[in-house]
Parts: sequence; structure tokens; C-alpha cells
Amino acid sequence: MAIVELLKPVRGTFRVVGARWLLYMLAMLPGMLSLSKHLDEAVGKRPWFHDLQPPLDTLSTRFVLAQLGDGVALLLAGVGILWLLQLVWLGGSARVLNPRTPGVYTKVFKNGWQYLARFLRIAIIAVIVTAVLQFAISKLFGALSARAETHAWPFYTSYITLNMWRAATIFVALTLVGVIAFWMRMIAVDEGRFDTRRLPWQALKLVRRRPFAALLGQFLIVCAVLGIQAVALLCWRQSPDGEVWLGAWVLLQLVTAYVWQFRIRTALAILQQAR
Amino acid sequence: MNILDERRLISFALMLVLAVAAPVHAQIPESSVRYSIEVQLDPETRDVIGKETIEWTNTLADPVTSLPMHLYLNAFSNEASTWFRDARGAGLLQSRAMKSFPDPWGWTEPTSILQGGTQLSWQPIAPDDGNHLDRSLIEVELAEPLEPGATVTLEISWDGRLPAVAERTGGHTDFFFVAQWFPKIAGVTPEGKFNRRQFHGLTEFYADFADYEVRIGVPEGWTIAAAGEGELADSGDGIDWYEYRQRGIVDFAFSIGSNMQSFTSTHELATGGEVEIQIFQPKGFEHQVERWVTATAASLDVMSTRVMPYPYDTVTVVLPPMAGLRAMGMEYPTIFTGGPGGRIWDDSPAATTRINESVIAHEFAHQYFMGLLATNEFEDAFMDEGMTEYWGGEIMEDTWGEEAGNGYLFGRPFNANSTTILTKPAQRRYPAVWSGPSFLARGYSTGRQVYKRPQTTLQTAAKLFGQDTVDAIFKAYAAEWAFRHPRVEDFWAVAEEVAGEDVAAMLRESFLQPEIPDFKVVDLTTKKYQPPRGYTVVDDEQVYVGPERDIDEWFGLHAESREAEGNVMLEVLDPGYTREQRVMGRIKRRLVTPQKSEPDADYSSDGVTLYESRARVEGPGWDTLPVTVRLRFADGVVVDDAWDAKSIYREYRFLREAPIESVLIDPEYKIRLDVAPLNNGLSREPQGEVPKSWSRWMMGLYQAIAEGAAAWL
Repeated sequence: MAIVELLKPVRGTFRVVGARWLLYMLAMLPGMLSLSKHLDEAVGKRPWFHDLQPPLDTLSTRFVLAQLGDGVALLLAGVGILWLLQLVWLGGSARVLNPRTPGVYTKVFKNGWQYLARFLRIAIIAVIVTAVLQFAISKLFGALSARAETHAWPFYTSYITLNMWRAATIFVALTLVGVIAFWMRMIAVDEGRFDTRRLPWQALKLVRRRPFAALLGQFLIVCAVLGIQAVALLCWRQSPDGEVWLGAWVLLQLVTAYVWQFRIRTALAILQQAR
Repeated sequence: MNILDERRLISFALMLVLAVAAPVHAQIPESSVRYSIEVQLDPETRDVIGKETIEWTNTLADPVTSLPMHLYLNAFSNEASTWFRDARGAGLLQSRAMKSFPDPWGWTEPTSILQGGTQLSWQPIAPDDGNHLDRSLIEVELAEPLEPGATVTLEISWDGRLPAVAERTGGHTDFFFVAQWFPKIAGVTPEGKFNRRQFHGLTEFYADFADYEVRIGVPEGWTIAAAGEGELADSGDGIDWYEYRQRGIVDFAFSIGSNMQSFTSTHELATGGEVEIQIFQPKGFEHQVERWVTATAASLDVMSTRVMPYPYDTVTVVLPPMAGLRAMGMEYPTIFTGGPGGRIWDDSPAATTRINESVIAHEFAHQYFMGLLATNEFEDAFMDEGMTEYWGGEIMEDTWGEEAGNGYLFGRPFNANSTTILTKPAQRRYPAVWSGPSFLARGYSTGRQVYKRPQTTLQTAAKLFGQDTVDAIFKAYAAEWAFRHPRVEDFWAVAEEVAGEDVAAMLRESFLQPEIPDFKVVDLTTKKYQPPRGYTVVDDEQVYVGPERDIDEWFGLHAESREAEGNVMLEVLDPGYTREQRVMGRIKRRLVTPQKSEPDADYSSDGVTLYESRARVEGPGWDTLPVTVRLRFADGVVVDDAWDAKSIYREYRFLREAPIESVLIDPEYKIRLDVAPLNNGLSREPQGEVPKSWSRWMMGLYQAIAEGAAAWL
């Protein structure tokens, strides 16, 4: 199926996208309100901060971050809940958007719950693989750092270039594991499998057969989404036009939800072609 | 004028004359020690083998039968040395680089010590900790006692090796920074005793001023930088021999590299005379040299103008490459290491900062604090690091202004001095700065006590008593104590002579108090005033006050509360304090004439409603840190209260038509010693955009984290 076709909305698209967007907005609300109240006390009442205006210098940023306090815990809890809910929503959406498993498109959540246990098992596999990869990366770059010192590499190479490569390698490893986990979930929904043991091999087989579409394409989409969000966050933080960036961010979340839906449909289309 | 005042005046005048009439290049006095050294460094083996002739004159009051001598390279000889047992060495032992070298260790041993042809005996001593595995200090038995004023000549040969992991000294492959490398006689303290100290991880060095003539052999084609003035003397057998000499310095260090380049320029001091600036850095970065020369020249000028003219003819800045990275940021007389050399300073974000300039400023300031005013860093580390930290900041401010003290990071000013500010007050009770020896100061923030606390003490003194006063103290201190070994009492004495008892008392207290001070506003409340219930006497008549009186808002109040003449009734509760004697506290009420500022936008008065406002401020309870407490009301009225801050808290109560809006201690932030000024103020209602904008942005940040978690797991 052509990419252009997959970009067009289908039945269920707006419900899937809209609800995911809403999910992201609502899940963070308690944490945000709690943080706002805490910051009113810890920051708003301290004259030191009264005249601070963006863009903030590093010192002020450090000071504000140090005052965040308990609100952060609630926001982190929000992240956890949101992650769980989006797993449910992923399963439901994949079923609703899959022509092979036509669900009632108004019952995305109901459809999604049945996949949660499987998806969590997949997450555990992803965590284990990530930990192994992190260990290997840490060993590799530790050895390179030592070599840099014993073989008198230039300072820039030893500290800047090497650390940039380390960060990039970690990001790529994380994202690749994430892409494989995504495929495992899509296959689980597409084939209705309860057993997760064979899923990693099926996912790896798929990305071996379709490296560009199944691996590179998905990898680039994830990189683009996270990269754009990171840049937007930085601009938002340092811009004096906070309200404008708040609006832009909300819109970006909507676009992100649409891209997420596009990923699912692309994946389903690839699975269909692979059969 | 009594005789004491006359003496002080004469002394002050004398100091001023000394300071003003100081020569453009301060004279270097005669030294009691002379070193003539010949040394050869083999980069392949890291061997540093040499011989030296030491002429040492007994300046002690008694005959000397033995001489303590530093063998500081032995600090790196095994993992049980005193240096390694200290925190600094423990960290190094964990490093991969240390484990990666087959033999990273450094060591030194004399092969012969002769006095007039007689072989002398020696043995290691460990007076600081009794560590029998530490050989960083030895005692050499003289052939015969040396009378006071007499001179002994020792001829010493030694073998040695530099450590590969260049913590302070050492290197490998293509670069070496060579410090603490030759057998050196321990310095004599102002109390007339030898400074028998081993090499410690937490503190640095102490030695007598000496004259050095050093002949250094390095592989042909390698470049060199060293203390003092020197040149290539001769070459042969693949070795280039350089000869350096310098009078009146407390140590001699040098650096060599196969991929290093030297750049020399002459700087005319602001106080007159010339100094040769040498930059020694990796090849290929000639375009950066101007930055480092500018920073060094600025440091020379600021210190020469405000403290004492730089007395030497040369200063060398070494920017080490990777092989010597752990030696960066270290000071030796007329030569010091800055930050890392190379591309880092070309690329963002480091390129826009002045971090390396501030390292250069700091290390240059060390030329004065321990270089010229040779305090004992084993025992009074804060005397050199703290004063250096202060003057490093002054150099940055004088040269580049306060706002851009450290350049720019991500497009915003990165202020050098504001980095002393903490987000939270110091929670723990710290030992006093003036406890010693400094190398025993473990288990607390040495950096804060040794570097930042003395720096902020001097900044506070400048804010309270004027920058000129502090500068005058340092000029007099340098004039009196350069090329000598002052103690902190000597600094206080000079401060008292020059600036008076108040300044000296403030400095003394700031160094002696165990805790880092923290002023804070802990409470601020306001409520509508209500006539007090019960029986009261009004116009000689007993009146019952019940709820029906609530509408009579002014009942029971002093007439002053009406502020008919614009004066505000200030009620202060001060609990008093106890020193050698008790000073009882009391509640004082007095009328003050306030300042006026813009009223709050949403403030209005009905002319009837009154507010009872209360505030509580707390402080460290010191004798010498007076502050202003600024109380601001919704109607724009501002009351400043001068608090001597000798008690540990103070409470305020007001009855006014306008509620209190905010309290701010030390509004001009004079007390820089209070490194946590965030809690110095409190307002009744949240203000500013920060809480809203940050909570929204944090929501976005966490959504992005959730998106990442969804993508990765």
C-alpha cells in the first residue's frame, strides 16, 4: 500500500488519534496541578525568582529544578500510568485499524485490555535486552576511554567525540529494541498470539526480510518524533513566548498521535504483505 | 587622639607609602637555599634521573643535626602511600587508565647523598600518620651539626620515574608535566621549625624560597617549558640540554612534549616593566593563543595593580594534551597548567565560555597566594586556595565585567561569581575554616570551606566595608609578607592595622565560626485586625468588647496606627543573645519614616479595614554580619530595619491599613557568605511567571518522557 494511502485517515483514525491525544493531556493533569501548587510555594513566594524571564540562564534553571520537589513524583507516576494506558490503547487501536481483525471501532479500550499482559511480557523482554546492550556499550566505551588516555588520543576525541558516540549508540540501541518490541506487539495483535516466546524471532525474521520498511522506516519515524519533541521542548523553555509554545506543544502532541496511528497502519500493511 | 590611634595612623601611613611606592618589579630578596640540578627525562621509560647540589643555610635558632627532605614522587609508588590513602588517590586507583598501564607507578630514591665527600645516611619518616609504606619524606643525618647561620652543601644523585597517570605530575607517550620531582629540603615554618609533612592527597605544598639553576635533558626535537628563564644550551647524542634559572621561588616545575608548541610574547605591565608570557600547548591551535595571552596579561595587570607588581620576568601557561590531562589546573611558581589544550575551545558550547580564562586567572592568582605569600597549604589550605579563588573572580570581573564573568553558555551569561550560590543552605555543621592541618579535613565539603568560603568572606568584606578597604588590606599584606610565610593571624593583624578593628573582627569571625551562615525568612502572615475581646478601659471607663465591636475596626489601637503623619509603627521582638555576657532581649516599638514605592495593582483601601501582619526572620547569630530587613506592604510602603543580627531571630508585627506583601533580608546581597540567598525573601502571595510556566513545561517534558518510554519499551 502506498505511503500516501496510509497517511489518509480511515474509519477509526480520528477516534484513535483524538483519544490518545486526550490521554496524554489528562494523564499529566494531576501532576501538573500538584507541581504548580508546589512551585507557587517554593518559587512563587521567593522574591529571588520573581523577575526571572525566559530564556533562563543555566544557574536559574538549576535553581528552579532544585525546587521542583514532590510534584515530580506525581508527574513520574503520571508517566507510568500513561505508559500502561498507551499499551492498552496500542493493542485496541491495532485491532480496530487492522482490516483482518475488525473490531467495533468505538470499543478500542475494551479491545486493548486483552493484550495488556502480553504487551507487559514483551516490555520485560525489552528491558532485559536493553540492560544487556547497555552493559555491552558501557564495557566497550569504558575500554575506549581507557585506550584514549593510555594512547594519548586528543582531548576532544577522548571526551567530546567519544561521549557523543556513546550517547548516540545508547539512543540507537534503545530505539532498535523499541522497534523490535513494537513489531512483537503488532504480530501478537495481527496473529492473535498469546504466547510471547516465539514473537522475538518472528519480529527479527520480519526485519531481516524487510529491513528498510520494517526496521529503518520505523526507526526513522521514532527518531523524528523524539527529535522534534526535544527541540520543541528546548525552544519552549527558552522562549519568552511561553503561551505560543504551549499551543504549539499541544498541537505537536496531536500530530504525534497521528504519526503513531500511521506507524500502526504501516506495520499492519507490512504484515499483510509479508504473509 | 590617643597613642594607640596615633600608632595605627602611622602604621597605616607606612603601609600606604609601602604600597604606593612599591617598585614596578618588586625586588626578589636573597634566598637561604640554592639548587643546582641536572636531570634527564626518558619518555620511553618515564625515568627521571638526576643529580643536584643544594646549598642550605640554617635559619633556625638552634643547630641542625638532620634535614627532612621530600621525595614526593614516592607518593605515586604504591597504593598504600599516604597520598593514595587519601580520598584523591582512592579515586585514581579506580580509574581504568590506571589499570590499563602495565606499570603506572612513579617513585624516586637517592643513590647517594654526600656532605663534603662524606656519604650521609637517611631513612623514611612518617610524622603525619606513621604510615611505614609511605616514603614521601626522609630524614638525612648530617655529618656534623650545622650551627645557626652556617651553610651546608649537599650533593645528591637519584633515580626516579614519573607516574604514567599524570595526577599533578607525570605523563606518558608524548607529554609530561614534571613537578615534585627532585629531592627537596623541607621548608622552615614561621615558628622556626621544619615543616615535616608527607605528600597528602587533600593539600599541596610548602617550601622555602630558593634560587634554582636547572639543566634539563630531553629527547632531541621535543619542546620544553619551565619555571623561570632558559634556553637551549647544547645538544648531543640525541639529547637537547636546556638551562633554566630563577631566583626566589618555592618550587621548580617543567613540562615537555613531542607535539607541543611554544608561543612567547612580551607584556608591558600596567605598573611598569615587562613580563614574558609563554603559552605551551598542543600544535595546530595557534589561533587560540591570543585568548590565553589576553587572559594571562589581564591577570598580570589586575594582580600587579591591586595587590603587588609581579616580581618575576616570565610566566608560562601550559595547556596539557590528553596524556597530561590530570595535571591541569595546577600552580607552580612562574609556570602553571590551565584547562585542556586543543579543539575543545573552538567548538560550541565551550567556545563561547571563558572557562579556560577563569582557570588561567585562578592559577595565575596562585602566583601570589602561595607563590609570593607562601602560606603553608598543609595547615592553612584556605589561605592560598580561598584568597586565590577570590582574586581569580576579581580578575574575571575587572577584565570582562560581572555579567559576562565566565562568558556565555547557550546564549546566556554564565556568571563566574554567581556559581558560588547554592540552591540549598549548607545542611551540615562544618568544621571551622581555621582548623588544621588541612589534610585532615575529611568527610565534609573541603571545596566549599577551602575555596568558596574564604572567597565569599572577602566578597562580603568588600560589600560591607568597601572594595578600596579590601584592596588596601591586600596591598599592605603583600608589601609586608611577600617572600615570607604568613599565617592567618598575620593577615588579620594587617587587616586591623589598615582597616580597623571592625573589619578584622568580621574577617576573624568569618574564618572561625564553624557554620556557613544562612539568613532566611521563615514566616510571613497577615490577617484582618479585630478588636480584642474582653474588658478594657477606654477614657477611664471599663468597656466590654464583644462581637458587636467587630465593626469598630480601630477600637483598642494606638493612635499611631492611623499613620496621620505618614510614619509607620514598627514593633520588633529581638530575643537577645549570649556571648561572654548575656544581652537580654526585648520588644521595641518605634515610629519609622518609610519609603514609598508603587502600590500593588490590585490594592485598594476602604479606610477602615486594618491588617495585623507578622514576619519572622532568622540568621546565624554572628557578631559582625549586620543586615537590612526590607518589609514591603501592598500600598507600596517600604520599611527598612537595620538588624545587627547578633540574635538568631527577629520578629516583626504591624497594624496597618495595608497587608504586608513581602520580606527581604539583605536586599543588596551584601552578605555573599550566605551562599543560599534563595530563602532570604518571602512574599505572601506567589508572584512572577516562573511557577506557571515551569509547571506547564514540566508537563510537556514528562509527556516527552512518556513518548520515549512508549517508543523504547
